Amino acid sequence: MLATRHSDGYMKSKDSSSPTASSVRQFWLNVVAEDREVEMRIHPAVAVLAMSRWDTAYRWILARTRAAGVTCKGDQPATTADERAALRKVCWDMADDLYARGSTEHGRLALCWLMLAADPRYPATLWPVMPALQWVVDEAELDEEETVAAALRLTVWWKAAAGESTKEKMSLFALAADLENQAVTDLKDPVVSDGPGVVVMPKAKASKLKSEHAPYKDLVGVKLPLVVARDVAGVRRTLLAEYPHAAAAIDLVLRDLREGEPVRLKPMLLVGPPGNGKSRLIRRLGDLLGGIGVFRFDGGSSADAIGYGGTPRGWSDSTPCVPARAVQTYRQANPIVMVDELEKACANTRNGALWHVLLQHLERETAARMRDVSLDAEMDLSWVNHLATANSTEGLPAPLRDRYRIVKVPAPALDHLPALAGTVLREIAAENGEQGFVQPLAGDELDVIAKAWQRAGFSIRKLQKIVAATVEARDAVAMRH
Amino acid sequence: MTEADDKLREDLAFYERGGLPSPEDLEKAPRIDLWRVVVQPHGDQHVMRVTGIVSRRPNMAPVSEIETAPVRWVDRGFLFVRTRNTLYELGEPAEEPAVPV
Repeated sequence: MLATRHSDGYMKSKDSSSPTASSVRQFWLNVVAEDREVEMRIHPAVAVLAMSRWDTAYRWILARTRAAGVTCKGDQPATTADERAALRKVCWDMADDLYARGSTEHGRLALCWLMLAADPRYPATLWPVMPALQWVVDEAELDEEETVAAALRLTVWWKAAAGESTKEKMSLFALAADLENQAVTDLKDPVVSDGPGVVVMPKAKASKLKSEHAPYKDLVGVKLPLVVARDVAGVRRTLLAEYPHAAAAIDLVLRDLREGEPVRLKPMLLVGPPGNGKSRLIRRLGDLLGGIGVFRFDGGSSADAIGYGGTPRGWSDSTPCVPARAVQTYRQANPIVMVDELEKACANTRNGALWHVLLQHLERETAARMRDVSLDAEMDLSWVNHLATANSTEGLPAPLRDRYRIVKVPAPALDHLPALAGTVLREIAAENGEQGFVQPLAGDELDVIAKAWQRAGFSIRKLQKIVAATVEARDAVAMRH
Repeated sequence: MTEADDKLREDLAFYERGGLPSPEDLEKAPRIDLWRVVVQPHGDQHVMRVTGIVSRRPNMAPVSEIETAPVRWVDRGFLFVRTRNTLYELGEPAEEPAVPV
């Protein structure tokens, strides 16, 4: 009910300067991160209000109190309700000590300590806090968005003071952060509800998330958009012009796209010699398909290989599986996950299980009900597009090879040089922010490039270096003139 | 900004520095016994009020039930509350506030 009221509030002010999810987040990040700014314009209790964990607040207040020249007892971490309860007496005493010093600075810190001593199970512990905290927030010079964010968190504290949270084991900091995440999710709903979409993390099948997975809270129960294929013919034309050597491959890659329908490609493995533009082709495909996210996973790096399937929840820093990370990063239900150098990932015996994990993700029915071991949530990852690159299919386990459509990307030949060099030149110009100001390569320049490229074995990666060197040489000559 | 607001601001700043009303001020202030704290939604915000039996209140019956205006400050020893216009002494609570510290 609470979140609804606030999300209504957001909606009403939408036309003017309505706060966005990111700006609310950003405010809290600023408040917490910029100590100096906090000292200048914000009461420390407002900064404490912005914190999402009791122990974060505890450490911060401890440091601030010590900086104010006051000796503090104890520096124990407290993560459970019982551990916090044991420390609350210390916090209460700290407030007494600070108030006895008779200065505004110490008094303000005393209020922070009372916030730490506040326990939702005992509403009376909040009574001395709330009128003062409300006053502090009212007096703080916050802009409209910040005021909304602060009011949202204050509501949680007030409700606890009213005795509505006496069964809660979580700290007020965590409760407030939870509500804020919920409100932010409500904010995002109307934005993504147009067009086709999929709820990747159904609420009923998700456990309570750990704090390190806070970014995933936004996904719970939310319909994420499916990127739709638009102007497939135009995409094809552009790709053919830029990668003339890969014409057959491009047609195979685009085969599954249907105009106006969500992008859903069969798993594909682009095979070809090193440096022939396989990964670039996939990235470019993402750009051209309406900004569909391309999440790269490096098969050559063993550290990465461990992480494809995610690490279990019990680990201290557990990481969700790569497709889930891609969905979260791009907030799309069908991003592209690109495994680079797949054969290296599979050859690495230390990570023998990688291809096993991959198989599960490539199977749509399994992927539709994938339980992520880190988030402990069932996810529908069946819309994630799986593309991979490899220098050869040798050494790939047969079951894995069978799952992919193998797309051969040949090495370019000398004939393709003018088109490819043009593509590379445009990329260099775009990187330097000089789009439209770069002279096309002249005939004599192309001749020089052709010779160098031939020696380099027709690798696009090498071509980039050669063209870059040519442009640099050209600039140097221009300066001399 | 009225005189009452100025006085309130001055008092809140004083309480923030750890100050307490003097015993003389408290003796002169209306006293609330059998008090309870009530927290209610009020517009977009919440407010805290105190209900109970008030005595020593000028221009009113010697003893009557009261619900205060929104409370602007309560001390952690529950000795007094301050509303915009009035300082109240807190007497006997209806139930001892549970503060397990």
